Amino acid sequence: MIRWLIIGALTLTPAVAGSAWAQSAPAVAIDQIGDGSQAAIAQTGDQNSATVDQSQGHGDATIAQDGDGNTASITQSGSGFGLAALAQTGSDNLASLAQDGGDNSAVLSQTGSGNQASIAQQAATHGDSAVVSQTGQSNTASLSQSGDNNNAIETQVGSADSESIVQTGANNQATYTQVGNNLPNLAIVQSGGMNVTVLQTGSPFGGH
Amino acid sequence: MKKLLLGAVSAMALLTAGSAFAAGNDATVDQIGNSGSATVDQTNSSGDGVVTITQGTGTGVNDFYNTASATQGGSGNEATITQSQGTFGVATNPSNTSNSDQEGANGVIDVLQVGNSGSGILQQSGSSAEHAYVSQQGNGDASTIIQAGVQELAVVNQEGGVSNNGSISQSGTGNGVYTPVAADEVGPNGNGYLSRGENLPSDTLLATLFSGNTDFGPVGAVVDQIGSDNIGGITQGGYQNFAAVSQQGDSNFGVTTQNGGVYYSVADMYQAGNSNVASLAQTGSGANYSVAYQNGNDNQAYATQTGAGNDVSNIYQGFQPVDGYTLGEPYLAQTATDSNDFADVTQGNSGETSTVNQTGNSNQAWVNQSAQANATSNVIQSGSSNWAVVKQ
Repeated sequence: MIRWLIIGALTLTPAVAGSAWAQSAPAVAIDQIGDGSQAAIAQTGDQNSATVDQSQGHGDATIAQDGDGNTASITQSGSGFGLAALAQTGSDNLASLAQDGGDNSAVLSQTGSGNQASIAQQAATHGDSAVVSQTGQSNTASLSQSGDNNNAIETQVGSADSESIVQTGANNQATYTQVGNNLPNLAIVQSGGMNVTVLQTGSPFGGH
Repeated sequence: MKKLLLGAVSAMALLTAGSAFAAGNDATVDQIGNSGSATVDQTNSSGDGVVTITQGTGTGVNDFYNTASATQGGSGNEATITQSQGTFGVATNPSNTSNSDQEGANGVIDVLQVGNSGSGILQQSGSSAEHAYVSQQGNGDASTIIQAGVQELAVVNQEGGVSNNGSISQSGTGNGVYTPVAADEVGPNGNGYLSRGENLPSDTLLATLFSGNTDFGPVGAVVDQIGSDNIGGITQGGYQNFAAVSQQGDSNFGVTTQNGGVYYSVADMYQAGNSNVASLAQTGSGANYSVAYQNGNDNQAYATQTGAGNDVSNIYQGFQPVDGYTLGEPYLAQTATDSNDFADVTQGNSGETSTVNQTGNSNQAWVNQSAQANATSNVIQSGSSNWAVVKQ
């Protein structure tokens, strides 16, 4: 069975899909083979906490939060082939996503200010892919991948954002796009064969 | 005068009981006063017997400490026991008790008690299609129904009291594979499982049982309770089980345990009030379905499903019917004030599905589906300071 995860729409189950979760992140389709467990958490409000722990591989996990001061965590382990999508709208939110086993895909989207995002992937024989998208100010994102054939895409729109990408292994690819003001020094660390694409532009908001 | 009256009644009871050894015999006992005893034994009847025992006038306060017993053999029997201490709220002491025992098929037992009463009903193994109805008003009431045959139905309705205990135990089976239809499930899920149980808050059992909103399956058990500190318990050991517990009030405890379930088991729990606890446990080789509705603060709902797989668990906390009155109605509306609710779901096989929907603040949802793969969990929370944890 081929499963498709449309990042742009963050397609949740109908019961949890709210209009607040239709983000404008790049539409990316990821296909994986397998049919594992599925978890979806949707929270509206402040100071909420959501945790998904999947240990059998082939899992789909989705967390959507709308509010401030929320915390979300997804952990996937086992045989890999995990799909994880995490979307937060609001300020001062914290999102973390960890996958191991290989062939995992992760999508993390935050809209607001003062948000923190982290993705950690550990690949086995096959690579992982990760997408981080942040819109707002003073956001921070960190992404680490180990193993070969990984793919990382990190996009930040806003000012005073900071990021880091760490890839360890061969044939990895990282794409970082930052649009805003007060752009930080890049922190991309790769070992082994790699391909890096970096785009930084000034602020579209008039420069602050 | 009282002794003379009781003596006359006892004589009548003996007379009617004696004549009840032939098929289709009737026994009628009327008693007024206290400390009376009525016993009708139709064990050796071939069936179609009718027993009617009435103790108390329903208007006095001295109709207490009465005991009634009806035992019937054969098929097609009916037993009706009415014990009243007068208007609800007058009686303060434990008083009337009744025991009913039926063997055979198509038996019906009705027990109506007002006061602080106790009722025990036994419909034994080898019987089939027997129904037992118990309606109690008062504090400290206790009803125990044990059914061991097939196609059994038991209904307990306890309204307007505190510290009541309604218990139903069914160990028999249904009548074969039941084919669910869409109309069977009228709740928000509409998944076609057999379930619809609702009598609250004022559907008195005897008057409106079948005109209300209760639909039954091949095997059914229903407990309705209004008041506080009540316990409603259902245990089912056969297959094709249907259980519904409805409670309105505070600090109530509803527990349903379904074992067996060759084809499926359905358990519904409705609770309106604060600090209620709902416990739903299902095993067996069939696909189980459970749903808990809770409206109020500090409620707890526990759902455990360890059957063969493809079980479905739904928990809704912070919801009330759209009409704001009748529990169990479809299209539940969301309330905004519930808080400190707790939902715990444990599912132990493959293909399980869990949905937890909570509204309000400081609620918690815990879902554990880690035993097998292919599980689905949905958690929806509206409010602040909520927790959701899903383990797969």
